[in-house]
Amino acid sequence: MNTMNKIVLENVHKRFDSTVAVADVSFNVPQGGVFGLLGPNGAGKTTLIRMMLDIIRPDSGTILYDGHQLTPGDKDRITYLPEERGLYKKEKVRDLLDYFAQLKGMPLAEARRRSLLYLVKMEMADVLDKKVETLSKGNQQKIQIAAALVSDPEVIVLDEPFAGLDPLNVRLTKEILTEERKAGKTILLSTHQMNQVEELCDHLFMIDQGVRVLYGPVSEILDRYSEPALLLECSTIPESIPEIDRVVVEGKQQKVYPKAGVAPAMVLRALIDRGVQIDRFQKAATPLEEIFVRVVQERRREAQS
Amino acid sequence: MKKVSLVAKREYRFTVRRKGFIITTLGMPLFFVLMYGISGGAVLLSMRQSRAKIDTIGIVDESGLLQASLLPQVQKSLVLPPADTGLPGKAAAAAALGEGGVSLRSFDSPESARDAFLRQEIRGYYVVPRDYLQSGAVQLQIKKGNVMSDNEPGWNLLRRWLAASLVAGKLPEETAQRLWLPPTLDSNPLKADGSPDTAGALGEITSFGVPYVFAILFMISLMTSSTYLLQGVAEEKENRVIEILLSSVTHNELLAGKVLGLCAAGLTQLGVWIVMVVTPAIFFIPGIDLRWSQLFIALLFFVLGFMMFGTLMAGLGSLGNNFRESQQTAMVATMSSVIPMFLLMPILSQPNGTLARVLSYIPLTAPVTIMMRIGAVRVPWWDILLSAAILCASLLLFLRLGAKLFRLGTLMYGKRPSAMEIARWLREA
Repeated sequence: MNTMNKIVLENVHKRFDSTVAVADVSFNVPQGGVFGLLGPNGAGKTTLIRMMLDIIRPDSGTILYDGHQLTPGDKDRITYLPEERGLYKKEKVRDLLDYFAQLKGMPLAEARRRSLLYLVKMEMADVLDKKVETLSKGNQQKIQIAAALVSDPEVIVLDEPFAGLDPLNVRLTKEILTEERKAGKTILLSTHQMNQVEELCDHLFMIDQGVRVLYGPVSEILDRYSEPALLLECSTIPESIPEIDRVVVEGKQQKVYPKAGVAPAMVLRALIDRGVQIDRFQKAATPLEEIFVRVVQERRREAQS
Repeated sequence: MKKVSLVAKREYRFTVRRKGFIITTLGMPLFFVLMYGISGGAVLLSMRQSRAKIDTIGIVDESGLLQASLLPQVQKSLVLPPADTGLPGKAAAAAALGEGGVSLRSFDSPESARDAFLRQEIRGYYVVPRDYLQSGAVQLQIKKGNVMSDNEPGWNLLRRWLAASLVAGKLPEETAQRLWLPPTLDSNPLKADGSPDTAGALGEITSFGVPYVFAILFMISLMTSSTYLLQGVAEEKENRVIEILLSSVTHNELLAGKVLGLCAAGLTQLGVWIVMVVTPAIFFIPGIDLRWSQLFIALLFFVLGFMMFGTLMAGLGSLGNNFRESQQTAMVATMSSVIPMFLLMPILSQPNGTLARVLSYIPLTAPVTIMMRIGAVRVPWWDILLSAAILCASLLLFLRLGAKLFRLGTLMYGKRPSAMEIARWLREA
C-alpha cells in the first residue's frame, strides 16, 4: 500500500435502479496537493464524492482512507462543499460556522476563533452577526467555502467552488486554497472550469457516464494530448535549420516542429544563434478543455459502435 | 453521542424559536382561558338575567287549606345552603332561585287569575280545587317556556306549603316538619379499603381529567412539533444542508439528534402548559386531586410516544421532495395517533375491555389510549408495562427503519417513491 495516497478507490461500483452511476472505478488521491475530478454533467462525479464521504455506500468495491476503511470518526477530517448551495437561512453566520465546525468535532472556543479567522481571510468579518438570508448569493457562497475550511480538515472536497463568484472573489478563493495546500491539505476539486484545473490541479481524474476516461498527473496528460510542437511569436525563421523539421505559420504565431529527439532548449539556442527576435516561446500545449471534449466524444463514439 | 447532542441542541434551539411554536405554546393556554372565560361569562350572565326575571305565579286556593302564615318558612326551606350543592355561595343561591325565586300571588277565583294572565302579569296559575282532600289533584295553567326553562315553576313550593298547611297544629311541630321537609342525605364515599374517599366529585373529575388533558396536549404538541421536524428535514433536503450534515455525522446520529431535539421541544411545550394552566388550576379550583402515579405514567407515555412518532416522521419526512409532499406522507402517522379519540366512548365504557387493551398494544395508538384509560379506571400494572414495552420495542424498530428510510430518502430527489419501492429498499438496505 502506497502511504502517499490519502484516498484509494478500488473497483468502486454504484447502480441506481437500472442506471449505472459509477462503473468499476479505481483511482488514488495522493496526500497533499489539489486533485481535479472532472466530467460532464451527470457523469457520476457527485455520486463518487458522496461515496468518498460515506454519505452513500458503493454496491461493491472499497474506499480506503489513509489505508483503512472509512469510519464515522474520519468524517471529522473531511469537509465538503456541495455543488448545490444552501444554508440555514434564519441563522446567524457565526452560529452556522460554529455549528458546522462543532459537528466536525472541534471544540466551541476553537471553532469561534477559526470562524473569525476565515471570515477575515474571506474579507467578510463584518457579517459575523448577520443572518444568512440577508447576504448576497456570492457572499453566502463564500460563507460556505469558509465553513468547509474552519474545522481544519485534512481533506477538503469542493464541488464547483468558483461557480457564481466574481473574478475578485475567484482570485481570493484561489489564494486561500493555495494557502491550504501549502499547509499540507489534500484538496479534491470538482469543476467544469478547465482553466482552473490547469492552473490549480496536480492530478486529475476524468469520468464520463460512470467510466474512467482520463487519470494521471495534469502535466503528463497535457503532454500526452499535445502535439510535439513549439509555439513562437518571433521574426521570420530562416529555412533549413538542422534542429527543425518544419514550420507552420498560424496568424501571428509560428508553430515549430522540432526533429525527433531535439529538446526545446536546443531549438531555442539554434534560433538565437541565427539572430531570430523572440517575443514568446512555449510548448504548444492543447488546452485541457479541448482534451476534455475530444476524450469524451471519442469515448462515446466507441461506446456506440 | 456528542454529535447527537449537538444536533439535538440545534434542533431544539431552532424549533423553540420558531414563531409558530411560540404562538402555539403560549396561545394554547390563552385560548383555553379565553374559551372558558367566554362560556363561563355567558353562564354567569344568564344566571343574573334569570335572577332578575322572577316568575310570578298565581295561586287560586278554592279548598281554603293553605295557611298564609306558613309560607315564609316553606320558602326559606327551598334555598339550599351552599355546602349541599358543592358550588360557591353565589352560584348556589342562583341555582336555588329556580324554586325560591318564584313569587306567588293569590287570586280569589280562576277567572281573576286568568285575567291577570291575559294582562301578562303572571306566567300561569295553580288551582287547588275545593275537593282537593278527596281528589289530591292540583291544576296548573301555564304558558310553556323554552326547553331549558323550568316548566313547573313554584311546584315544589306549593307541594311543601300544602303538606305543611295540612298537618299544622294536628301534629307536634317536629313531626310536622319531618313530614313536609324531605330528608337530607349525608353520603359518604369510601375507597376500596374502607377508608373515606375525600376527593369528592371534583376529585373524580380531576383524576379523569388530568390524563385526558395530557392526551389532548400530547396530540396538539405532537402535531405542531412533528410538523416542524418534517419541515426541518424537508428544508435541509431542499437547501442541501443535509449533504454537509451527512458528511459530518452518520445518518443514525442525525436522526437520533433530531428526534431528541424534537422531544425536548415537546416537553418544553408541555412544561409551559403545565405551569400556565395546571398550576393555577390546582390553586384556584378546590378539591383537585392529583395522583402522582397517574402523572408519571402519562408523562412516560408522552415521552415514549413522542420519540416513536418523531422517528417515524423523520423517516417518512425524508421521502418527499418538499415540505408539502412530506406532510402528506406523514399525515397517515399523525392521524393514527388520533384514532383513540374517535373511539372515546367504547374505550371509556370499558376501560379494561378488549378494544381498549388492543389499542394499548398497537404502538401508534398506545400513548393516547393509555392516557385515557388511566384516567377512567385503575389499569392493571402489567397492562401498562406491556404497552410501554411494546412502545419501546417499536421505538427501536422505527429507529432502525427510520434511519434506513432516512439514508435512502435524504439524497433522493425527483420522483416520490411508491410504497412498493419503499418496501423493497427496506429489505435491500
